[in-house]
Amino acid sequence: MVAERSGRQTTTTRSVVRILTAEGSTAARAGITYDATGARVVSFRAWLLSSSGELQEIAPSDFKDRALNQGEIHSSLRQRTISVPAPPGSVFASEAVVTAQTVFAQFEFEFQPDGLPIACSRFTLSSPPDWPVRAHLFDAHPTVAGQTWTVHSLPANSGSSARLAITLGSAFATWSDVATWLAAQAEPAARVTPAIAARAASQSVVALATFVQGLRYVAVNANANQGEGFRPRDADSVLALGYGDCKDKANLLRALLRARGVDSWLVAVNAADRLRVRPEWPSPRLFNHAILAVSTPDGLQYFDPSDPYTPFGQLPAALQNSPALLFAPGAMLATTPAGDIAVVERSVHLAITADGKIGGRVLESSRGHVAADYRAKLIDYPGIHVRDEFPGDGLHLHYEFTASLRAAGPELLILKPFLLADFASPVSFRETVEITLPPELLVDELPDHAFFRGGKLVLERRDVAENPLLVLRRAPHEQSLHRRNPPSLRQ
Amino acid sequence: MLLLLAFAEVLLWDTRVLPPNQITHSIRVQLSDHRDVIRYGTVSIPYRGHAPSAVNARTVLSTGAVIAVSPSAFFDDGQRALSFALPALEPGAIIEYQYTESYAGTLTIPLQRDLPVRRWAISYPPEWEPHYFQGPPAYLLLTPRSSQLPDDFWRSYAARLAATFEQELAPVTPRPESDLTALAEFCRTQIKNSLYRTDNLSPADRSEPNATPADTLRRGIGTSHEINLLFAALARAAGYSVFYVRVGTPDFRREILDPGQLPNEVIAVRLPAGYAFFNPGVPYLSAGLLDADEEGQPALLATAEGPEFVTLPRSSPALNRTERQAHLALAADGSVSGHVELVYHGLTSAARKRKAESQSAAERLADIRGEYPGAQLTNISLRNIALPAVPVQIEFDIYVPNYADRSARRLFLPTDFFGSRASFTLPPGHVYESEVGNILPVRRPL
Repeated sequence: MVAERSGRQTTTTRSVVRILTAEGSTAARAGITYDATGARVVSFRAWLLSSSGELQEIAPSDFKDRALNQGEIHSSLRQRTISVPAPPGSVFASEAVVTAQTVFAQFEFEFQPDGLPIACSRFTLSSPPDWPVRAHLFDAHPTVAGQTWTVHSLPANSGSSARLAITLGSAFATWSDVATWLAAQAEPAARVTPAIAARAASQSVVALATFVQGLRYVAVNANANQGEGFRPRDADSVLALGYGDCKDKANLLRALLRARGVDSWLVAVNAADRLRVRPEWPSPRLFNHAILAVSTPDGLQYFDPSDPYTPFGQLPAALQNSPALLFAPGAMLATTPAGDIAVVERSVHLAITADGKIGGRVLESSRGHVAADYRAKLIDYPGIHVRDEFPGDGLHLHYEFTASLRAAGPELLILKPFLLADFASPVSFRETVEITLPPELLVDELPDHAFFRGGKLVLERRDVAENPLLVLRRAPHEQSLHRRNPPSLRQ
Repeated sequence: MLLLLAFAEVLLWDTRVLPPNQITHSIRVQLSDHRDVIRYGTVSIPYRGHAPSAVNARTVLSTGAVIAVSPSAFFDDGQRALSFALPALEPGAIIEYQYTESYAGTLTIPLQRDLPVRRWAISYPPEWEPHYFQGPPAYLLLTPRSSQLPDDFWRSYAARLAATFEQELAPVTPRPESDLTALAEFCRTQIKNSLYRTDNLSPADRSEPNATPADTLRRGIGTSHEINLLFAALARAAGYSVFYVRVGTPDFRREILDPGQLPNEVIAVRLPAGYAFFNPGVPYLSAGLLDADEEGQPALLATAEGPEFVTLPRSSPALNRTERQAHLALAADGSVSGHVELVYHGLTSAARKRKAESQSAAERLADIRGEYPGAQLTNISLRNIALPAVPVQIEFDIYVPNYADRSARRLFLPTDFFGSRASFTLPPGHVYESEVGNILPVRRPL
């Protein structure tokens, strides 16, 4: 890479891949990502050298160019790729030259981007000699010669995170610098206009949060190299349009709260990979999502206006305990709080008939991320009656069903008494299943305690009138729920 | 059963055909609730070739207020779709948008959309003729009205096809083998097909157009059409009568004078017992097979005298079989582990190979793992996935925790290990041997 003081960066990327097996033939590929509004692909060429020594340049028409993020209504980020079938013994090579004009004097280099075994991976930087270079290595141990970093002999590793992160000059020396820069990007967009003030008038914090949460998420991305991805659109305009992306929505809520005299700050997080944010390398480019921190009498309250299912007062599970940076001058890298354990109480009343049918009613109440998950999943399901206390936390549902039991031969019916899935993340869970049996059926076996690991299972058999009744209660062991809260941001 | 409910509806979809090459759509959608606002508030108009023009959009609120989408808020990704978001939406709002597309030749208008359409007005000039297809999905085909009778049209079309076929079918030196299947397999496996990513193809094999079948034979590479022509030329050189055949879709209607209804091609050879059909232009097929979208379909066999309408034969299920073997050990905790071997023949093999064309090696393995949810697969071997004609073979070691249901004294072992999983769709009309799921109780010693 050649980096100039003017902000112009020229990156030349060369890769050479030897194909060893037929299954490896699809590794003959290369790709570059660029911002169509601030960068130019000067050249992108590729070749295939056959095992017999014949060299073939890949035709330009075989390259593909498409938007990087298909889910956005518009994105100037594009990806150009080439992929060719390559028989074992052949060698694939590519060279791409991209120039970009950018406000960021920071960049990263992944030593093993495809997880393929690496013979040699090298990054060379050419920059003005009097320009300080701060390099950070993550999960990599290259040899360093001047401004060249080289690693040799890396085994295949599809989850490799070996990378080099570089900052040039004095930009973003600390997280405080990053936060100050972010604040400067966002501040002009949070003006309180008459329209904002009118919308906020006599509204509570929760009502305003719920209003913004209900606006549509629509992403329009352009000029990423110029920092546009960190600049929310004017709150007034987002209010008029009724849609925006994460930073637009967070900023609109900030302006509305400001009109009510409530302080709040946009917060940068990485929603996809919290481990990507490393304290050692301060950079805004490690974040891909914006939420809001609202000042309340109890401290900062984090809230994601782009998540339509998690009410004010909580954070989605993916954003809990994550590195976070306030868009506030002088702020330091902090950690979002871990939320409370979700609570689920389930009550199931079933009856079995002599012909092997089972039916009954399920009642379930949930709070926390389980309630949010249900909101996302149940929106289209008829037949399930939902009482949602949103923007409160509780979600209550009930439904009825009938089904057939599985038969193992003519003499045996099999009933799995736990009809619903368990939960992957920590949940405070209580379940009672009552099953009424017809007198014609005898219970041959009951599950033992090993049936339910990680908790306590209580089985009872009661005779109510003529029909026997099975009662099963289960709850996880308390220790499996314990989770230590990390220090809050304010702490 | 769970149903997806749509509350929004299209109040009016107004389509106007404007010859010679334009069609306009004006759409008015009523949004009912907040879910509609989220789902339908952003519109994406897909296109091929030229982007839609004259695009306008606006929101009409229940108060009567109208808010237009500004011209700068229409985004064209330059390749596939033009998108925009309607402003200031709320439940009860109406969104309106219109756009103009270009077309060439006949027009197909899909009538089943994401939303129910209360009224669809389609206007077209009198020189066009509509043909309704019930589907699903339902669609309307518009073709230029013709004074020609269908028999005359197809006779003339068949004669043109036959003449072109004769022109393209320059003689070649006969091959030593005279058996038709052997000739087809020679063309399929020994001539590289430049349209497929098979293992015997490299970028150096980029195909230049072959002028004659002899060129295809000499260069050893060609397109599917050129390989089919080579087969026809070799069969003729071996003394057979050969014919060019266009293959239709199940919707083919003889009264519609549109050759576009016949998108595929095969070669017919006249034998004493009737015609035999071949398509060596598809490398992934095995001997005796036509492609999945050709079997059982209506087809036009072109002769100089006119068309012969035929129905292509279906292949035997045995040719398309999947062989699945699992050697498993059941553990006391209900898990099973062992070795699995799968062999895919015929169309099931071709379907796997076609899908693999656009996949990386990792995606192919992920696909296999995805077919056994909850199981751990190791030592996966995937063979012949990019080889012409031969069956796909897959082997792996598998461990399935909690495969057998457990009670206090018994394990309940489902014996339908492979289930009724059908990863690929075969053409209708095939006979399948299905496995019957059952459960084998295994009693544990007390």
